[in-house]
Order: sequence, then C-alpha cells, then structure tokens
Amino acid sequence: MNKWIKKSLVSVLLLGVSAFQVVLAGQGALLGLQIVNPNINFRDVGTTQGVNYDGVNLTITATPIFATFTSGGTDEFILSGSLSLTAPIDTSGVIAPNVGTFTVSGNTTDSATSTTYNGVLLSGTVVDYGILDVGGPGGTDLADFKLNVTGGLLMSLFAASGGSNDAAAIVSIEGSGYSGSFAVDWTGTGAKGDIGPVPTIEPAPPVTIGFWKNHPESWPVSGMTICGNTLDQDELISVLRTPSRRDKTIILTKQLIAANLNIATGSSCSTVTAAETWLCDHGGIGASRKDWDGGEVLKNEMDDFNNGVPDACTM
Amino acid sequence: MGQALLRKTFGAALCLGAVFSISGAQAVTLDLTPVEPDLATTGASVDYTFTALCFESGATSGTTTGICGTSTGKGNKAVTYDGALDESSSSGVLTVSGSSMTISQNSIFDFIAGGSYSLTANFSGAGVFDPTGSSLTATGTSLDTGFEGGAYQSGTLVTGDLFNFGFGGNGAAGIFEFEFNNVGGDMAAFGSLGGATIPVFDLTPAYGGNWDPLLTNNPAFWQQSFTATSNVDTFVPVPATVWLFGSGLLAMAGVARKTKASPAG
Repeated sequence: MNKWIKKSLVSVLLLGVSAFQVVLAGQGALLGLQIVNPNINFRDVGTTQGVNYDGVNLTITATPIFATFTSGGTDEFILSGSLSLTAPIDTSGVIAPNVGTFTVSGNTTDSATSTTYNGVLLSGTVVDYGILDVGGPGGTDLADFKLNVTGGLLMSLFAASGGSNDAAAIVSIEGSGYSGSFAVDWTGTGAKGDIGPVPTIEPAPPVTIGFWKNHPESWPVSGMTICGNTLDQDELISVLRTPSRRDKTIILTKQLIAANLNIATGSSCSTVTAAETWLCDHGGIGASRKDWDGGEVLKNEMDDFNNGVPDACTM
Repeated sequence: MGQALLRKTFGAALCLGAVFSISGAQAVTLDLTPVEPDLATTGASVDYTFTALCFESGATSGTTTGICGTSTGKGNKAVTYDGALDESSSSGVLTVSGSSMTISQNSIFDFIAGGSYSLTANFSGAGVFDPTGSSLTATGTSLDTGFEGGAYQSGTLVTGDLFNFGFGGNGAAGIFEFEFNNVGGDMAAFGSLGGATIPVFDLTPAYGGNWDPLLTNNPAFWQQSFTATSNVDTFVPVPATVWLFGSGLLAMAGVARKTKASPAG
C-alpha cells in the first residue's frame, strides 16, 4: 500500500467513521428525477395554496405559470391555471402507488406552432415520491414525484418527448414543517416547481472494478461520501487499486464502489444498502478485518452484478 | 439570583447567537420563508466558478501562487503550481441569472415584462461568504400596468446588498439562501430587509457534501465549479421570525449591559 492511501485510510479511521454513506447523483431521500421539455412551471400564489400533510394524504396546490414546449424555447404564459396533486402517504412515509392523482389545467399557446391548449393540460397518477429535509422548521425542503400521465391535452407531447408516459414533478416546499417524518402532520406555506417528462434512459450494462479503475473518463460521478468523508475520483481509484491483503473491508469496498458506479449509469443493485451497512458496522474502509462475519455473500452478489450476471444483487 | 439567571440566560443567548452566526454563514440553511410580495424567477441559471490558486510544487506556503496545475517560465526557471491550495488568494463567485419572472402580492400574480434577474455572491478560497460586491438586481415591469395600483412600473423591481448566506442539501439537490439589505426598487416599499432562496435539483457535478469549511471534504464543495438551474424566490421583507430572533438577542444584550452597569439592580 502506498503512503498516500495509507495516509488516507488512517485519516478516515481517525475521523471516527461511524456511518457509511455513498452519495451519488439521484440517491438519497429524493428520487433524483430529472425532466425534459415540454415543461410546466408552477408556483404558489397567496396564502391558500401550498402543501398539506394530514396523516393520510400529501396535497399540493399551486398555479401553473409557464409552459415551455422545447428546450430553450419561449416560456409561454398559462392563464386561468390550477394545479393539484394528492399522494396517499401513511405515517411511516410509505406511498400507495398509482392511487393518488394530479391534474394541471389552464390555457396556453405554443407560439412556435400557434397551437392553443385550453382545459386539462395533464392528468394522471402519482407513482412514487422522495423528499429531502434540507433545513430547519420554516425553511425550504425539496421533493420529487414520479408520475404516470394518463390524460390531458399535452399527454401526447409528453409521451413523444420522454418516450413513455413517465413524468416527474420537482417541487420546492417553502415554509416547510417537514422534519424528516410523516408521524406528525405538517404543512408548507408554498410550493414552486416544474412538471415534465422523464427521459427514458437505456441502462448501460454493468462493468467490472477493472474497467472503472482504468477508465476515469467514463465515471458518471466525481466523488462519493464514505462515512461522512468525501473521496474524490482520484482517491476512489486509489482504493480500487489498493491491494486487499485479505482485508475484507477493502475487498467489499472495491465491489461497492464499482456497484455504485454501475447504478449511476442506469443498472439496478439493491444489495449496496446492506453492503454499506456491513462495512460501517465492521470498521469502515481499511479496518483490517480478516473474517467476513456474513459479509461475503454481499460481496459475491455485487461481484456477480459487476460482472453482468443476470438477476444478481437483489439482496 | 435574578442577575445570575439573567447572566445564564444571556450567556445561552450569546451561544445561540454564535451558532446562528457561524452556521448560518456557511454550513446550514437560513430557513427563510418566502412571503409576498414574492418575485419568482423561473428556470434561472446558477453558475459557480472557483478560481483555484496553488503554491509552488510541494509547498504549503509562500508568496508566489499561480493557477493550480499550470506552470510559468522555462527550463530551470520553470515554476509549477501544484502545491497546496492557497486559500487566501483563491476565490469563488456564484451568479444567478434569469428572465422569466412573475410577482405575487395579495394573493394574485402578474407576469413581468422585460424581466432580468441577476445575483452575484463572492466567496473566499476557504468558502466564506464575502458581502463585498455581493448584490442582486431584478428589472422589469408588471405586464398589467394596473397590477396592485401600478406598483411595479418603475423598471426596477428590487435591488439589494447581500449580507448573509446559507446552504443545505446533498448530492444533486440543495438550496442556497441569502439575506439582503438596502432594498431598492419597487419592492423597497415593503421593507428594508429581503431574502432570496435558490433551490436546485440538478447540481452538476453532483456533490456529496455541504458548504462547510469545518468538513474535511477533499476537494471541498466550494472549491469546485458547478452549474444548476433554479426557480428563484426573492421576497421582502424577511419574515418576522428572523427579525425576532435577531432583535431578541440585541434586547437581551442591552439588558445585560444595563444590568452590568448597575450592579445594585
């Protein structure tokens, strides 16, 4: 092990690593959804619109403001608009998928095509949600909702752009009383955001540790946070190149880094959560752990996943 | 007994104030709540550019710094700047710009014609917000010339000098917040202290850290350039809770000084 990696690993350990977390774009409390055009922008107006959670439903009311039909296109006014979204979320934070609904109405004209859309612009069901408690009470929190578009005058435009009926609402909740739990009712004084199609992304096939450590130009992220300590790409590659010397935490971390990179490029692996927990519980990276204590099966799952074995990494 | 209690309370308040001041400046959100009049800027571009200056190779101090990774001179006079980051010479600039705006007041809204929004915030190489030269300006007029009595027709919606900064979030999502004073433009009629909130969902590159100089991120969030888009809120005044907190501290400080000056009580 070279001096640099020794120094880094020692630093990580000395900093009191107590929790393992790999942070990638799109992971965490939010779903990490991104949208494309056509895009409907909305905002709260007055004191009667906003966000309310009553122990059963999370409800958002707002006013559609602009429709932007193409990327870089004109922000077209929406007149006489209304927006409502209801997501049934229980007190444990679990949503009943495709039960809640959303509706966006208004009158707007695409000036590029001189086409007017007047009425229900978009409607459908709420599939999933994510929420991030950013600050303290009264500040702004962030949420995103995965939507299934089933109707509305813009439905065909959404489907043509995104390649499916998948859409997303990206919402900033102002004056938010959300504190990380749905066990208590809460409200938000306002909501601003956008609704747009979610582009269909063909997932790239998983690739191995060897690929990632030799192709930094292909990395989809610039770093990961491990136990609260952020490692940039060079440091992560150094970990991938570190001889394991039978240290199980190093062996597992290498597979974990590669698995997370494969997830970031569109593949799916649910085992990373359990693997992260195991690593954290066993001292973190470079803990000189000589026995697996149940971690080997997690490592093997990720190893299979990173080598393209079908249906691997589902633990 | 009374003075002891007062001192204890005042001490606690000062501690709270210190936490508020330090963390509010760097590491946590200011928890601002937008109120009306509320100027919303849709799809604004957020750009942060960090100019990184490094010491010479292998050095952690010195008087000569250059752009990290570059070299000057030739042959045996060549100097390569790949030593430690010179935080005192490095700097960052956050800019926000947009043109699609609406304003709401008294539970109605109007579109802004000819809108232009610009915010500039300066940071030191250590990620500390620098109010000097940090400001915001929004120009334009309400489309309805009679909107709220024609209150938004001067051409300047709001101007202000930024004086406080907060950030919270993780990965690709987060929120930047600023407080500003010396409010000018049409919105000055509603107060001398305003706030701006800048939520983002698409930080590029995404980063798993926070804007906290106390963390050991390498490189720190503020030491990387990034871009994002945002639906920006700019509002006047800042809600009462922030005022009350600040004025409460000042009042307690005043009482404490008075008590100290008159030990007999």
